[in-house]
Amino acid sequence: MIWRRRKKLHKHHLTREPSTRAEAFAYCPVKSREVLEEVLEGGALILTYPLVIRPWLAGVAQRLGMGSTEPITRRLQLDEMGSLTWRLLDGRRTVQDVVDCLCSRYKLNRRETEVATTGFLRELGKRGLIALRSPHEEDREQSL
Amino acid sequence: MQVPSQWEVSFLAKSHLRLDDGMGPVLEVKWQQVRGVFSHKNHLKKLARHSRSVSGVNFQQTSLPEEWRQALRHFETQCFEWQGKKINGKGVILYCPASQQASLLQFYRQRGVDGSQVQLGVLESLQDQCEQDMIRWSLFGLNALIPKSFDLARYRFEPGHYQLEFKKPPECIDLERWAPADLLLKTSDLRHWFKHRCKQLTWCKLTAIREQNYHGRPALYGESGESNSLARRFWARLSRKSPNVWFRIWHLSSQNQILGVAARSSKTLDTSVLEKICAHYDMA
Repeated sequence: MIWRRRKKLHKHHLTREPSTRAEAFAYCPVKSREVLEEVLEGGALILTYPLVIRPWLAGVAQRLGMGSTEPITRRLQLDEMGSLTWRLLDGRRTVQDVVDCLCSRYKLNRRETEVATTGFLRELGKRGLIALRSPHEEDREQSL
Repeated sequence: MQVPSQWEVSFLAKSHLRLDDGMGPVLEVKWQQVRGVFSHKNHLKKLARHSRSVSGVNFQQTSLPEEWRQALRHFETQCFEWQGKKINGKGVILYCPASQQASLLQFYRQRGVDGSQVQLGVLESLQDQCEQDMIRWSLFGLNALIPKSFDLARYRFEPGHYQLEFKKPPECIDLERWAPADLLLKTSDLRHWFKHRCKQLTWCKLTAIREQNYHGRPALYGESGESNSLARRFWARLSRKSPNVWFRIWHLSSQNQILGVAARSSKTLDTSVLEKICAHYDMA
C-alpha cells in the first residue's frame, strides 16, 4: 500500500479550468506512468494501477500503525472500444482527436461519441489512470 | 420548425424542447393545448414572476419586432425580453385560435451576438399544426415518421442506445437504435444477440422470432398470433402484458447500427402503419 501525504499546491501549479466546451476538448489526456497494460487474446486490455489512498485516511491508518509498504493494485478490464480509446491516448492527441477517431471508426453520431468518450475519460481520471494537460501548458513547455 | 444544423436537442419532453449550439442554450420551445380562453397577459405575468425569482434578471414586455410580424401573422402574439448577467433572451408567446394551441418560443443570445437573421428563419419555418397524418421526428441522426396522434411518452439517448417511446393509449410504439453494430454482433448473429444479450424489448422476446430479409438487410421479425380470444385477453390483463405485439429489428450495416420498431397494444395493431414506420425509419 502506498501512503501518500498530499503536497500543498501553490497557485502556479494550478491550471485554469476550461471555460468553454471547445476549450475542454482541446485538452490532451496523458496516461499515468504507473499503469501496466496487459493485452488479452481478443486485443482487449487489462490495466493494472496502484490504488491511491485518500490523505486523511492514510494519516489515520499510519497513526493506528496500519501503514504498510506493500502497494495495493487494482485491475480494470476494458472492452474493445475502451481498449481502442486507451491506445489512442498517446499524450499528443486531444480529447477532440480521440472523439474524431472513434467517430470515424465506429460511424457513430458525434454527440454520442463525445458523451461516451468524456464519460470514459472521466472514469479513468477518477481512478488516477490519466491526467489532462491543458493546451496552454503545452505551449508553455514548448516555449521553455 | 427548421433550425440550423449545428443546433442540437439538449432537453426534450412531451411539450418542451430546448436546443443548444455547443456553447449554451439557443432556443427553447414550450407548447400546450388550451381549453377555454387564452390570456397572454396571465402568461406574461407568470413569466415575469418567475424571472423575478432569479436574481439579476430584468424582464420586460416588448412590442413584436417588425421583421417578426410577417412570419407570425397566423398567431396572436405577445413579445418579451429579459437580460441576465451573461446572457439575454428574446421570446414570444403565440396562440393560434384555430388550433387552440399556445406556444412559447425564446431565443437565448450571448451579449454582443446578433442572431436576428437566424431567428427570423426559425420563426418563418414554424408550424404549430401538421396537415399530414405522419409527423417527422429528426434528432441525433435519427429520422422517423410517426402518426400524428401518437405523443412522445419517454426517450433515452445514451451512448450505444437510443429509444423513443410514443403512446396513444392503449397503443405504444417504440423506436430503437443500437450501435456500434460490428461490436455488438462480433461474437454472435442478430438473433442470438437480440435473444440473449439485448436488454431492451424483453416483451418482444416472448413472441415467435423469425429471421427475414428486410430490403436486403438481415432482420428479425415477430408478431403475436392472430387470435384475440377472450381467454387470451383475460390472461393478458391478469399478467399486465399487452396481448398484441409486433416488432422488427434490422441490421443497417452501412451505418454500423441496428434499428428496431416495436409496438404493443391490447387492441389489434394496424400493421400497415408499422410497416410504414419501418420503411421511413433511418439514420443519417
